[in-house]
Amino acid sequence: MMKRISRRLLAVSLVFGALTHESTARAGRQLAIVVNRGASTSSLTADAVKSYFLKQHKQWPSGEKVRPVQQEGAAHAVFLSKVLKMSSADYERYWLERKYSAAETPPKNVEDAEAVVKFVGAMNGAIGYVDVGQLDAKARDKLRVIHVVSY
Amino acid sequence: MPRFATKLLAALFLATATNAEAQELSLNAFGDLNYGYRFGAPARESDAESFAAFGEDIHPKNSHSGFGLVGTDFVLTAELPWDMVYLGEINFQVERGQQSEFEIDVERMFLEKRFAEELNVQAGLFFTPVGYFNRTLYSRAFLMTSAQVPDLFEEELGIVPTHTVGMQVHGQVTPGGEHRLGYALSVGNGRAKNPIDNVYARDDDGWRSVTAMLEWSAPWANEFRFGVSGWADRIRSYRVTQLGEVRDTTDPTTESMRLRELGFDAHLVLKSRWVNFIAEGVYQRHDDDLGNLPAAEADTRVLGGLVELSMNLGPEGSIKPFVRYDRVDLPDNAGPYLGLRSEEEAITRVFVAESSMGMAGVAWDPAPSWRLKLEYSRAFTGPREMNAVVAQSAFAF
Repeated sequence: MMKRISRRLLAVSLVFGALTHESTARAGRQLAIVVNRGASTSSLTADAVKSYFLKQHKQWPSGEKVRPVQQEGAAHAVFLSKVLKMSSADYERYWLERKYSAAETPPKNVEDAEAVVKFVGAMNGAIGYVDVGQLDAKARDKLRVIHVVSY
Repeated sequence: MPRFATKLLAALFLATATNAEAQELSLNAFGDLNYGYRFGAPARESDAESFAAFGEDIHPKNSHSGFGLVGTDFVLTAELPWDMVYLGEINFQVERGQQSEFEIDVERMFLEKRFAEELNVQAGLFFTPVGYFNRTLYSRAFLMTSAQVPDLFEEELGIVPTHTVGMQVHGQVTPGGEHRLGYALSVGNGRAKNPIDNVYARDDDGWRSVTAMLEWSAPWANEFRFGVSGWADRIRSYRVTQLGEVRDTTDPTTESMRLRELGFDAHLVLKSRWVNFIAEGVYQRHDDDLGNLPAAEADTRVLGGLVELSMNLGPEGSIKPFVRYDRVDLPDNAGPYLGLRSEEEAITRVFVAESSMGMAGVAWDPAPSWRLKLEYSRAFTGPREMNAVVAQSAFAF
């Protein structure tokens, strides 16, 4: 009898442990909004990040042109839902409208986080986003994190 | 638009498109296919009779009975070196009142230099910076929630000057937080001797039109805009008093007229997670500048507007039930100018009707680049049949 209870307890604790580990891992993930190390901006609100990526504001306070860059894949989906608070359909429609009415083009599109780091590190005025886990020491030398969102 | 000018501009469009060493090129297209069914008696019998005798096409192009293809619109945007942007927009569209004739219409073609967020300079053919609808939605069905283009902004009715050839400066300042104050100021060739022609190549009347717009955007909801705009022009044309009368403009007995045009527009736009609201109103007046018009024509007014309310329901707000009301009030005989139409040296007067219409329907976005609409409209005044149902499939890519 005692043996059976112990086995059940063990099974329950294993399942609970696995779930806890999973949710901790999820809660721990963060997306960093990054700018070139030489930028004068040290932090931005989520609304300001949104306005730069939607090209509602196209200059940094210093007068430098804002050069947003977006990446494909999972990080883009997180960025849309957590920062821009738009669905991918809304985002696509937004840019069709902006292209039509204001001759504006969407942010430059690159393949992955590595390309974002390369672009933002090399270009004055650039702003992008990468998963915090992908920011190694080399990347941190070239970039400044100005906003972080958890997901 | 004259045919030779269309061909010249189309050639320029293609030449520029292929030769520009653009950093970023983007090509988009917009189009729509419609099926309409109109029924019932005319909303106003006397208007229908005048229209039958002296009118142009009675219906907006996308609401005839039967299938209707309005056309396809191509927009090329090129980001060029030195912060220059080129935009060319060509429309392959059915001519109003025609069953099968397509025309090539250059909607816009301009070059823009972006000096700073506060200062951009544009030169070419652009949408007159008036209001919201004309600058943002124009006649692109895909961008609209409802199906029919309001008469007020229908280029082929010429009530409001929808396009300008000239120069424009525009930009925005940030008064605080995420608030933005946008402005636009344009100077252009203005109105021709009839209201549906654009003065592309030359403007001999010695005056230019001036348009100014101010728009406040607030970070409330998904989009909030409130704007006012105004325009002033002087129009030189000919007096044609009777519907259907044709005058030769080279005949010295044809009486000249000069009008001062002043227009005002106010708009309010709110787009939130659940509800969208658009309201826009126009007031326009024409005043006799030579003092030779009789009292009834010397000082005339146009009032018009639209209000649209829609909701975002379903997954990602893709189902949008909507209601809209449009109204255009015109002076007797549409005043001295709005009914004029010309072809080379001949000028005549057609019947332009007032309109008052209510619409209700639903738009559904099955994909980000595809919008389906079903709309019922009821005409309260004007020559159109009282009832219409329009099904529309609009796309963009």
